[in-house]
Amino acid sequence: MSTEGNALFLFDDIASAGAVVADSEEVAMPDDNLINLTRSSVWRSTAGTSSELEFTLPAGDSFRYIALIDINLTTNGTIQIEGWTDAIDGSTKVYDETHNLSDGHLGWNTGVFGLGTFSQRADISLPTRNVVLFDTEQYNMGDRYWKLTLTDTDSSYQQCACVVFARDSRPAVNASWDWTFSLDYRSDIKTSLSGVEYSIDREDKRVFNLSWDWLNDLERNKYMQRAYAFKNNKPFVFCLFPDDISQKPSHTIWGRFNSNQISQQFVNINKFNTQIIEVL
Amino acid sequence: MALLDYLKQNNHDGIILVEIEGEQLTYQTGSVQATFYMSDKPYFTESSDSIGAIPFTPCIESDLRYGSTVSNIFGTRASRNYGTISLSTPEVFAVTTVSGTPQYGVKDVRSSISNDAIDVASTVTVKLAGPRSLFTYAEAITLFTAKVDNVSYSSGGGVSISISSIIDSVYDKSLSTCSGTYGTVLNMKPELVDFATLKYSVNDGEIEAINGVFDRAVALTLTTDYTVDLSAGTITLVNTPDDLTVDVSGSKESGVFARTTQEVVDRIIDQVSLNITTSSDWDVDTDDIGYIVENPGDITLDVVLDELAAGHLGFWFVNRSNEITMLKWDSSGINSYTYDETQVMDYSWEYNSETYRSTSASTYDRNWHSGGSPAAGADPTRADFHTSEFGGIKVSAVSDGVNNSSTIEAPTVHTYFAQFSGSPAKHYVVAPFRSRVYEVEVPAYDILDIGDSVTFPTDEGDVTGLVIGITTTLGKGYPTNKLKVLP
Repeated sequence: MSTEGNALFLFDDIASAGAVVADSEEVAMPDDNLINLTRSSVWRSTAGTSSELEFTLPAGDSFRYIALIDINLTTNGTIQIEGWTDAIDGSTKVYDETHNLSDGHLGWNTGVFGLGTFSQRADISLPTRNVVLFDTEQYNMGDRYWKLTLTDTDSSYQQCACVVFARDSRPAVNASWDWTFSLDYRSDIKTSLSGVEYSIDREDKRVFNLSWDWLNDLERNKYMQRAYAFKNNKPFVFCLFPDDISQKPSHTIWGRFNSNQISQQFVNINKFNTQIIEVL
Repeated sequence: MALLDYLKQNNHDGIILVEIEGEQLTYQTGSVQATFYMSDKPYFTESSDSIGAIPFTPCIESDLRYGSTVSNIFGTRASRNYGTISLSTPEVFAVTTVSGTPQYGVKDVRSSISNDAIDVASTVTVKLAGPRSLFTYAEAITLFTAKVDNVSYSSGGGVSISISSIIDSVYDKSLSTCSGTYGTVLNMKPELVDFATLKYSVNDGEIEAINGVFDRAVALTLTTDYTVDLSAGTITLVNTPDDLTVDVSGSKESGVFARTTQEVVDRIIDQVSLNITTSSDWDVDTDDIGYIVENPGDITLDVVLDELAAGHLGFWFVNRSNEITMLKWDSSGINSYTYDETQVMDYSWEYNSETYRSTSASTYDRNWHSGGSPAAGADPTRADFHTSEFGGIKVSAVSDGVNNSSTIEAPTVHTYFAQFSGSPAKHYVVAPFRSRVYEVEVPAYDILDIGDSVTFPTDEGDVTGLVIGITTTLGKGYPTNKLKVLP
């Protein structure tokens, strides 16, 4: 059995306690919005095909995953992630990976990544409402200086709602069978005399109904604390099947708990039922 | 593809944009009030747009309704009502200009917290946009502009903004400075403004011409009996008159003499300093009329519009661009729209029976003392015109007969009262009028307004009529128009 289950929570963003500087910004959409977890507050570069985002993380914290919420890059885009121990562009580089969004993200152009206008197709409205998740595979990375270089020759500016740097929180045992994924259909349909239907598209919310039936006592306590701390209104990144994030990004959402129930079924058998609903 | 065509296609996104000019509660030197930008879905303009790269705050959570209805279908005016905009958060993106420099950021719309706040009388603009990647901000359609009537806050952070039409100001707008004679008027009684020189004023300002001066219906002679100052709008008599009346071609400004109903309304609107114009869609008779405002402090602009519309058996309303439009009841409609059965979601009809009010309600007398007699040599067919019902207004746009049939007869606009003779009479007294009025529900993506013509299918065949009422609902649900149509 894997020591990492098939679901991933990023509860504690450390970037929002740090600082961020972008090499350009529209005055109405400044770089500070990148560490503001409100989805409607976005950063946008001025005209250009590449931007650099420089993060200085707070001392004493660490992370493994980086998630970019509502990024507008197309499948021709690339994201380079670089990290230093001493300073941005400093002498001790500890990490440098470039992710080509067309590699390993084959589903983006034609698959079920979002719906309708919120797909990654370049001919559809920007900004898209996507969550892109990167696994540095560096457990508890404590280095403080990070640079993200966003490049996309298919769009005239780069835009992102927020960037999350966080450690993962994941139960050791997979979410149980019978989990469900559904869409909260929010459009209203009207029918004409002849039966023709009219509706107006509104973005659907992605909804997960999940259950973990085999939490250990430590996990039980931890998720009780999380459920209490996050209530039903504080957002976090949630990903089902994080091992497949390069193939199935649609499973990563910016969501919130909608209901929680934790119960102890028997000795050392703890059950966590939850519904996670996307925050748009 | 045009935005409306795009939106009419099934499942396409329409985005409601609301822009509200906040009120500056404390004056700051060199700064102007904030403009708040909000929407019902995420929407960002781009730097090439007229308002730059602006992130609209997607906080509108209510359906947005707006409507316009001719309040009494055989009355003359139209009301315009708007609903309430509910915001899920008081923190909305705003742009403020301080010393010429725009300041961008999220501001609190609440007056208790923010210096720049949404308050009563703030100007509201509501637009319908398409996805920004397909349509520019400039292509967004302005649905209407309005003003804030009331703002309320809930403890949960929600904000309710009640909005209403800016045409309230038409109803309230006093004509206090618009005393004068407009168009061509016969037998008006001028005001004695200088007792010593026998100077009489026929208009407060320049006029086109004095066409005749009479004393007890006897014509006086220019130069011998009186002199004229066209630029001041006065005549000066040689001898004290017994019962003076004057035929005048009145108000002239910048060399232009206002002749028709629309020109007269334009002139009066100019003088009351109202930020409103007349539209290009007028469809009333363009004959010369005559119109006198004697006691402007007692009347408001809507009374003038009511009266002038009545002179054409018509009605007036303010369109979405806040322009005054006047139409006759038998107009064919400004814009015409045709719906087929795939677009009509519902329809019903009812008989409606109402009465034209006695629209002109005007009487006329001979132009000598009531009960007296004309002077020797007078023209006995000349008549003086009186309308006591309308607060000092005299109107010469009158019908030449009584209409008591069940159809509306187009009125004839007369320039010369002398065409009338006989005992005092009233005009436009019309018998009760009975007609079907249809209620039709259709998609909202045609920007319909009162006065438009629509054709739609029914069980009894196609019906074409004039839109006399409209309620549009936009927001979370599919947008619909509920129309009242008079065939």
